[in-house]
Amino acid sequence: MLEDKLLLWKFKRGSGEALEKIYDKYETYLITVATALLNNTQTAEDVLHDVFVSFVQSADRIKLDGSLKAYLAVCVANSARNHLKRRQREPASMDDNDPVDAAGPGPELSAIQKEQTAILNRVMAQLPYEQREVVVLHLQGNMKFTEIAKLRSTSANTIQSRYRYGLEKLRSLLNSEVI
Amino acid sequence: MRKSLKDIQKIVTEFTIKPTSEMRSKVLDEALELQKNRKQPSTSDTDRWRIIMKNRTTKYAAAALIMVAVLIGFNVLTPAPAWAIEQTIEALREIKGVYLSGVVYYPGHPKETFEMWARPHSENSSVSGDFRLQEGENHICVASETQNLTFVYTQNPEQGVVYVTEGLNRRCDTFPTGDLFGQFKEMATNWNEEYGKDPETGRDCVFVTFEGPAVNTARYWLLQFDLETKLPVHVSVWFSSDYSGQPHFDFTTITYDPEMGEDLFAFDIPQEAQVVDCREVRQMLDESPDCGIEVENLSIEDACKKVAQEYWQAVIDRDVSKIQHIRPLAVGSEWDRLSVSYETNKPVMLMNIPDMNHLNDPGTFAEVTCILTTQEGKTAKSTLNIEIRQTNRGKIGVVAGVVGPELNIVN
Repeated sequence: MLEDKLLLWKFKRGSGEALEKIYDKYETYLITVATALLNNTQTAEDVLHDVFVSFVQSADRIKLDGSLKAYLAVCVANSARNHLKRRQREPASMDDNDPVDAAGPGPELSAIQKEQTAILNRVMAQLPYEQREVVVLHLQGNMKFTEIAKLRSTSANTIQSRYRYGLEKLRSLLNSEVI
Repeated sequence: MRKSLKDIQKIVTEFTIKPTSEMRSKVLDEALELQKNRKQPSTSDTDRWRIIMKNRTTKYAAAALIMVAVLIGFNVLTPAPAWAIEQTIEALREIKGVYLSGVVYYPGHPKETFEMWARPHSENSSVSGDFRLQEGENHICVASETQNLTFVYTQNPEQGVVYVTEGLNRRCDTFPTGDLFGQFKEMATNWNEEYGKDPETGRDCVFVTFEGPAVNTARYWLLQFDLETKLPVHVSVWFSSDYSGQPHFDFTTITYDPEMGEDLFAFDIPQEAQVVDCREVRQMLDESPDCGIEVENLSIEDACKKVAQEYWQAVIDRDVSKIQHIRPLAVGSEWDRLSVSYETNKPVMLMNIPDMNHLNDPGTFAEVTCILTTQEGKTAKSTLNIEIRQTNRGKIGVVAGVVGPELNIVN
């Protein structure tokens, strides 16, 4: 998007307004991706915080190959992965038990929608992270398998397999839920 | 009912989390603080633009010419644009003046701001008549149609200089005819249109990118049209195909038919400035058609270097007849003045030629800065005005004069 290129250009020149516009434009999208990956809204917000801080710190080095949206999605995916690795090394905390719907959909969403979101998050959480990541980046992030493969330094076939297994498992889990 | 894989894909795709009201502050506050304190990006150093950038006015005129060609050429390339370019074309036909401002950037050099005002020529509306270019406070060009004169002023550190030249030698071709359409159409590739909102005003816009005519190797254009007014609100040309880094030219403000008083196109010569009346100097040079050295088949840059090198060699050799052959106006009292200057600080070696200006600018003389060593071991600087002219002897180079002192001892 040229609009994004212009925004990014202004952002790289130090514009706080451009940074806010980038945030406002992709806020919902990024929190959705992060939450889908982490199954925890509070942790997803922490990850987004880290992503935006890092985005500013590395502003001079940013060079877009694709869209700004995809770039930010990759940043979120990488940061989420790092966060999970760190968490695995740490003892369990209260944070681990903070479910997604605790800070999820706002009151204007219907009870049914809230319930659907909660169910989807519950089943997503049961997917192995590798599969969840591919499903989220492909379906939510609109990333091609080849792009995800490049990101994870693996083959496109492996990524496609993860996606297929992930989707099958999701179907199986969701068909056993009422949604 | 069991769900298919397609249903699952749809569910995941449509899955959305609504951000909480506290999230914005939590995520963004620290980043905004960092952004506030972040330094502007630095530029890589390279001096490959040194010579090109010295042709100060032509570069703006070229960019402005291309810019408006692009605006009108757009109609040719997209016959049914969604934002009714026909209205823009009609408006452009009625233009009685234009104001442009923005930033020009050369890698390795600080960014410079500029402003341009122009009115169409009374007899040929495809080019400007009255024209003013202001680059900071150090460089001003004014072309006056009523006087048929162009003033080019540069405030150099040692000496400000105003060149007075006959004719309209600085112009902004912002009122192009259809002749430019075909030319532009041939040059533009990878034309891309995208609709979006202006990042600052939120107004609906169309953004157009394409690879087009190069301005000092920058050839990736970005145009932004306001969908309501149909007018261009932003034009820039970039070195990088991904529109990253700094744009070469960035026309941030484009105003049609602004208020332009007559004072804008009347140039007051600054008190401290040296005036080089190119009309008079050329008349005098015409009286010495046999003078000057041949520079056939040399580029303008090499020709100027050759003239400067041979001139200073003649000075070092105390070869008066050769000095006067290369610098025909150094005769009589002028020679008396000059010889005193050269006797006081005898040049013994031309060290280098670090700078050349106005090489391709019409009307003015080239400025060639020379660094010399004197007999006392001091370093002296001299800026020669060199004229490369076509005569019946072929292409000839002469020294037309100097800007500032003959020899300025710098240490």
